[in-house]
Amino acid sequence: MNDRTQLAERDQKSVARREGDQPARRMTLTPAVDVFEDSQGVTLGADLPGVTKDKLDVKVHDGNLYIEAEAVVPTPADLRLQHAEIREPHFARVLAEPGF
Amino acid sequence: MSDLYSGTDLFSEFGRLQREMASLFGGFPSSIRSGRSGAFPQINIGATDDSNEIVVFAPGVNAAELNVSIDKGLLTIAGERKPARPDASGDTRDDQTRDDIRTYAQERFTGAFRRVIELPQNADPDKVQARYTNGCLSITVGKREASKPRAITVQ
Repeated sequence: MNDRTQLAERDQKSVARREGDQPARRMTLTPAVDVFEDSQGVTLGADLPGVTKDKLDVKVHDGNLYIEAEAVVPTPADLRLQHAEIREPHFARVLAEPGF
Repeated sequence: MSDLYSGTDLFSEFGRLQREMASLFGGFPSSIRSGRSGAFPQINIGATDDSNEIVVFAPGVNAAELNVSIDKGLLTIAGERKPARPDASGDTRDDQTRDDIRTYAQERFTGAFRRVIELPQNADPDKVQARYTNGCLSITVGKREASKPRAITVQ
């Protein structure tokens, strides 16, 4: 019984620490990317099925490229999922800028 | 040696093998049966009372070139994804002549693909709709009228 009480306290502390700075971690998919460089510049392509521009977030920060996206696939309300190879609608990927 | 940098079959085949191995042994937990869950394109399958819904996650494919067909209870989705390279905009020059392209990563699948799904007995092949939006191919296969759940009134 004492062990269970201790476990609960530890979780509370870690949640409190995270609340201030960043949202809680969640399961994300890592999208496949192609990165090419030619004389014109660097071209990146990423597989983000179900993602529209308003749900796509691309940032450059500290020499890294951050991609975050959320996919939305319209499905009927009473859908029962039977086989899922993509279980999460969230994509995230961090890439270091090439050539640095 | 320039083959490695121009990203021809060798590079992508190794990459694909590596990805499939990684998804088999290290990926998100999935059922033992789904040994090929890393294949492109990935699919989700669900059902409602009226239909079976299949979503095929295939971005970067020309919808007009997608082949969706049903035969003897098997739904087949086939197509081809062309590589998206900076010089692939209608340019007919051979890849090897562009030796100023550096490939840092080439993880996206390219080439021909085919996925086959066995539909349940209640699928009606005359009631199939397919839509391709935002890189997702959504297929709705209606169920036969006789197989839909029906409430029975007790007298």
